Amino acid sequence: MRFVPAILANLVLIFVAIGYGSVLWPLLPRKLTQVDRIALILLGGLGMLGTLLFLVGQVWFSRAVIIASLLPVVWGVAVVIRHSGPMFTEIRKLRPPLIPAAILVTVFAVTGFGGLAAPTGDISTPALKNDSIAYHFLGPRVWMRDRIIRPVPDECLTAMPAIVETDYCALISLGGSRAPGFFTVARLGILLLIAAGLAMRLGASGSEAWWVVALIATMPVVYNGTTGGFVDAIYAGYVLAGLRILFDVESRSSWILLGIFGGFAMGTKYTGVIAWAVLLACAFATSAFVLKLKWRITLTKIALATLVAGCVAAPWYLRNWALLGNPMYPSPPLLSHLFHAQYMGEQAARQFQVEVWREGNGMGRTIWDFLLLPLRLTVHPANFLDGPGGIGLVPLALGPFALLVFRWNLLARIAGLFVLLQLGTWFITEQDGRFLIPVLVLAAIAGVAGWRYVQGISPRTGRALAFATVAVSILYGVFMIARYETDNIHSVISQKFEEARRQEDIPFLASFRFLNSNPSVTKVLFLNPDVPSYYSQKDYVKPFGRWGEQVLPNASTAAQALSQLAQLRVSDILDVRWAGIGFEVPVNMPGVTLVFSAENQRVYRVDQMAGLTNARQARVKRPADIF
Amino acid sequence: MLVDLWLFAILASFFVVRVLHSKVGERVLAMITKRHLP
Repeated sequence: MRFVPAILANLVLIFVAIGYGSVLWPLLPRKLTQVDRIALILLGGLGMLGTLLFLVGQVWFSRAVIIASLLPVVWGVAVVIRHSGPMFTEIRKLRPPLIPAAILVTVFAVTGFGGLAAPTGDISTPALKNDSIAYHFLGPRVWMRDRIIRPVPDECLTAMPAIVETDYCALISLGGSRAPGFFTVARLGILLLIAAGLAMRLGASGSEAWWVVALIATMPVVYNGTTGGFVDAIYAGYVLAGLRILFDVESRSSWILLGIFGGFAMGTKYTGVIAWAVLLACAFATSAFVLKLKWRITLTKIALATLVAGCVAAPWYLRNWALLGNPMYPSPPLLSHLFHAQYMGEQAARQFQVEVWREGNGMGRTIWDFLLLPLRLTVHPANFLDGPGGIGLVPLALGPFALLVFRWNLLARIAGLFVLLQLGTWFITEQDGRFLIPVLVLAAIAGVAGWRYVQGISPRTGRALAFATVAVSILYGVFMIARYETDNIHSVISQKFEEARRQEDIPFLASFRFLNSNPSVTKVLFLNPDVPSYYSQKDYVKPFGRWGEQVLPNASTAAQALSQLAQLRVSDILDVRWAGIGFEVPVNMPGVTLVFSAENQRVYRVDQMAGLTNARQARVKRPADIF
Repeated sequence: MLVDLWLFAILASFFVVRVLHSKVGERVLAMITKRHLP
């Protein structure tokens, strides 16, 4: 029963997305297949819901607001009922081959079970760094508690565009903290739909499209970027949706639609800005070489799409500019010279950039390193951030033959340009495996085209070796995914294991349980920057963030923060010995009383707040479940 | 044919890399090089 709300919340969100997304129906190019339409409507709906919640959340973000935003669920159900006939007819025509269908069922079953596990994790050390706990889930939890969407000052990454995270708010509100994890099923499904549509547009048969999606679903790098709180699958979906629309762009409405999806990509991740520049280059090429439009008309259409994209993405960047002093926060190197942001001093901002550069260095940044990327991503994927598990053998083994298959295909050349530019910008910015999902989708499509070519020119040995290559890729991918999900599935099946996992994975669980269950606790001071504040169900102040954020203007040390206890209006302090930092609260400090202690953790009650706690407690709403 | 050789090379390199990085592979390598495993 504890999983039912999470599953139902996901179902509701899918229908809500269809409800919103169906507004885009008149803009869809006529040549799109039903598969394309379903993917674009789902993606568009999630983007619209996320943007709407964000806009409303700037003023008021209560549970009632979230529930009201989900009302189009009724319209979504009506749309599904009305269009289900033709959709199922077309999907049946695709005739799934047994092997890829069985693989997909396995992957989705594993994903579904694993996705129901309660989120756990640590944020202190790089090896255990858990982005979901650190900010993907922290932002929604704090926004819902504060009833307003504002960047969390001690975690700069919550200021990034967050279309998907605002969707998480709806999921958490309806289905609890497990619901965003289970949303992995939808994220993966949507990515595979858009991939299937692209594959068929580039000439793949229905059967080949099934193999394409089976290969993508079993690429561990793609899977890693899809699970937990990661938003990369949806982001990749927006970017690939832009490319898909470009392939059949036919009228002004198509260019508007291109702009909408480009805007959603920018509203999901900062890298969407780069992806939009790449899509614009592809739009120029499409306009000049496929549509053969005049330059003046081309520029007009592209200006229209850019204007729409800018309007759709603008709220995120304007909010940051207005509240934090920089449209992109934390700032990339180019903008840090132009804008001075709050909370992060120049040194912290520079340190953040250095860290991103170091972590995203991959195996080097020379021309030679770029040329060796296909080989290195295949053989040494673990040397790239979020790369363990790799991309399978198919892109390297069979992908090159697609150059021969597609040599006269104009759309494939546009896709090739997209891959080259996307790979190049990825290479010179942050080489994180997750950010490469749009390229990996196209690599899988190229791989299957190459497979077809090999079967044609080498019907016996080549056919057998190509099949072995595909089989090894998929089996290794399934093995890696199963290994990744083992603990998640175990914790779903066994409550005993789930509790043991919490004890092991959640730092200071005992203190969090004490603070969360104690009604006199109203607001907690976390002194250590690496305390995962996601686990706090109570309001909190964290003077120092893990990236060097300084929340209190006059407190650059713990001692200075402790001297402001009265102004901070905290009821309790969580003091820990953690990540190389010792206890900060001095022994026998006046005004505080030790009320709980365990290994490396102490909770102090702030005495002067005793009279205020009961009054404040009445205003603190207990959020949804964590434990 | 070149195509067959290419595919065979990639498959073989995958298995070599995987085996070398596995526990069994490390043990075999350690036996060959007479190195003591930690």
